[in-house]
Amino acid sequence: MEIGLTEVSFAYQIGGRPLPVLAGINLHVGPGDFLAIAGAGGSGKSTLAMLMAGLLEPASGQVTLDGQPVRGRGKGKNAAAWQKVGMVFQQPEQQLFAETVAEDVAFGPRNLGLDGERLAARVQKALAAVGLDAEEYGGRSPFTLSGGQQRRVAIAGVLALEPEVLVLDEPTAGLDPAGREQVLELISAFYRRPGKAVVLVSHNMAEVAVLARRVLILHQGRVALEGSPREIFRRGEDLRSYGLIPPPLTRLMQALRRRGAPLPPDVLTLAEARDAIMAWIGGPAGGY
Amino acid sequence: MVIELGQYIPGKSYIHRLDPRAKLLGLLLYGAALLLAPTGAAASLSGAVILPVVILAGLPPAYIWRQLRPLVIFMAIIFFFQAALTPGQVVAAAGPLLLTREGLNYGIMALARVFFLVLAASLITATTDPLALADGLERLLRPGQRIGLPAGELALMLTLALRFVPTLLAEAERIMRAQVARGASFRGYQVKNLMPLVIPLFVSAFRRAENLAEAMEARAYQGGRGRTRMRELHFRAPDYLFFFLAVSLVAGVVYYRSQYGPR
Amino acid sequence: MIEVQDVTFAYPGNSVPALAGINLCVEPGEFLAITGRNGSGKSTLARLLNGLLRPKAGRVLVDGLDTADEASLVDIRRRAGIVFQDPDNQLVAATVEDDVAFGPENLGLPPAVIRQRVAASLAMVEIEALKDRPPHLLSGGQKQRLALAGILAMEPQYLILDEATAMLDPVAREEILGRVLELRRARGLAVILITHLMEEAVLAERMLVLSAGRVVLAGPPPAVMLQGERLAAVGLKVPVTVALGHILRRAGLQLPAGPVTAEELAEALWKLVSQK
Repeated sequence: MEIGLTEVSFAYQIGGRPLPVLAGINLHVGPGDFLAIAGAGGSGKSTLAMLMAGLLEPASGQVTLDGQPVRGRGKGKNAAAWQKVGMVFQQPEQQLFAETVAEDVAFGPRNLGLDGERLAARVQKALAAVGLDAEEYGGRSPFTLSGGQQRRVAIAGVLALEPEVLVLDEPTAGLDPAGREQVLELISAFYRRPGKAVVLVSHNMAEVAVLARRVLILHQGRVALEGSPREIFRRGEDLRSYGLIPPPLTRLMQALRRRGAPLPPDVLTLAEARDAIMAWIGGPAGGY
Repeated sequence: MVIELGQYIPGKSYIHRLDPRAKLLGLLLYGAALLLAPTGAAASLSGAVILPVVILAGLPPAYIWRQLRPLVIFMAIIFFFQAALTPGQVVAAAGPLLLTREGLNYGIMALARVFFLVLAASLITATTDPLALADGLERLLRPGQRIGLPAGELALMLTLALRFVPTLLAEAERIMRAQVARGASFRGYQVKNLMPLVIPLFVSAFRRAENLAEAMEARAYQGGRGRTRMRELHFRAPDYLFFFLAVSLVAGVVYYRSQYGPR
Repeated sequence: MIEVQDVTFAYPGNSVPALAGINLCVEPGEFLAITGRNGSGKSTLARLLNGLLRPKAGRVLVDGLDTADEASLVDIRRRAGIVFQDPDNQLVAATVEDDVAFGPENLGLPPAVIRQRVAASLAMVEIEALKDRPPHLLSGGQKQRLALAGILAMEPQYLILDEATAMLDPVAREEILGRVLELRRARGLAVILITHLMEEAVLAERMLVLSAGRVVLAGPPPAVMLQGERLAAVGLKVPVTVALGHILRRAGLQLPAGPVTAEELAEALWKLVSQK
């Protein structure tokens, strides 16, 4: 499944006046892509995510699925194609409603017309994908689980639709470090499966640095920067003007470069940082 | 996206600056005048006194229209039933439907009452900060505290309800989208189909209420005991004038009714 | 001073205590961070500090006032203010200005004093321009500034931030925390920061790590950061800059254990190089 946006703009109507949110957006996401969308609060990134999931329709411009122009979810003749795009909203645990975890996860696939064995299998698979045992958790009320578990159940509810493209809006917001890692791990696991694509909306640059293949930075409704994480973090100083804070390792490298150290600006992982620093200190300056 | 019904539009007009108590009493008296007006013409005329007030308030005409628009069909139906079903002197006929002079009178009367009352009520909510409105209400109800009416709590409840309506609407929209993304359809009005929206909304409303109660307690709220107000209410000359005009309107209608009203 | 003496607390209907045997002293003007993963009891502790919850056993004293004493509660809440995680659920009024007035109104202050405090608090968080706006039209960061102003208007001596920045984007988070720390310097306000973000906690003078309702580690951040394994065991992670420091030391660099932030580490590394 390939999602395409061509010259897309969007505006909310407030008090009868249009409030522009996005303008001139062009992008493509296809199998194997991991796109991160970053930007400050109010930059339009959540709106962009909803457009990419067919939950809003653009004011102008074109949205295509596999090259075919489409309208929003549930509208127009190509609407069924949206089934292959799953969307996880911010704090998705707030959408839980069913009496049991299994019932809640089953809601989506049941809406697609699945039942019986096939439905049960989907639910089990989705729960397994988020690290929850269907035997143990399936019969429990979602409201008795911890916040982190509730979030994973909600994500399972989207995975049960077996999407090809998964769009997630700030999936780790408010979670503690352990909960955060579990969610990031399940996103990576989804992405590793063949033919899948992920669109991750996040303002956490450290997450973006290690996960994304491509980063798009929104600023006031327009694409301000686009490129690989390495290319983006090389522009470290610019990130702040877009309301973003570079990840700590990038900040460290920047701070040292400002002092005159010959270090690369685009370090993403701990291992890279160690090697770069050891090469610098242990290198031309002599040993210790 | 943004619900405007009954929403406050900040401003500095004469009407905005009136004491909320004057506005609430004015609405009460205006409503009484509309109900007491004995004829369609009298109801329209006494209703029309609000027009200068509307102009003084300086609200965008488009806003006023949006407030009244949902009522158009309702008013048309009321008018139709009153006009078509009242027996009396026939002035026009269309097939089996007879339009009578009496029917026309009642129709106009009903129409004027609904139209002007809604206009007045939306004028007040649009020109009065909800908090001030709740304050005004509290102070008007204060004498009722002696018979156990919790005026302060009622006023605060009203404020909180107003404060949280937009928040919950935005939340409802978000939950709805999230469920649509899972293939839900909210078309049709089967209760079962609404559960994926209603339950999360309830859960969230309760959680919010709980958090809010805690936050209020943390800010030393203790059920209105020993509470003072930043905004003091003062009845000034314009408020007395406004109140006097409203009383005069009722007096005029009562006098007219005693002279020409229904025997 | 806030004194927590041997406090145990359990939620009704729950046999496992949320907090057990807690002893803690918060000095005026201090900057203390309390961390732990979700469910470790840190938010419960925050609520005990200003009498929103009362201990099952033990005592909590705020400037000598016992939170168990119903009559002192208003005074306690005036002294120890708390800003919560979700700003939407702590804003009560229809406009920014009226919301800030809510606390002082509850304290029974005269209208003129309330006005002056509202104006001063809005200025402190730099949202004076928004004073007539309805809160629901503010951005997340603005809402949280407003919530902070509402507490500052009560002129507290202790400011408790209970995950108050968790829902904000990083820039808004940095701005709010920066503002709070400026106020601390300017007015001697004690700050108690409840957070699971280690990057935030290490900014404090002293940190306390909770797990399953007990204090498992306490001390100045650089010392706590040396306990990487114990932190990992309670579901926390040292900031990546601290982890890098460990790795570099293991690789043989004579790097001191002190630096915790990116800037501090850069400084330490630069010093190391210049000494050669």
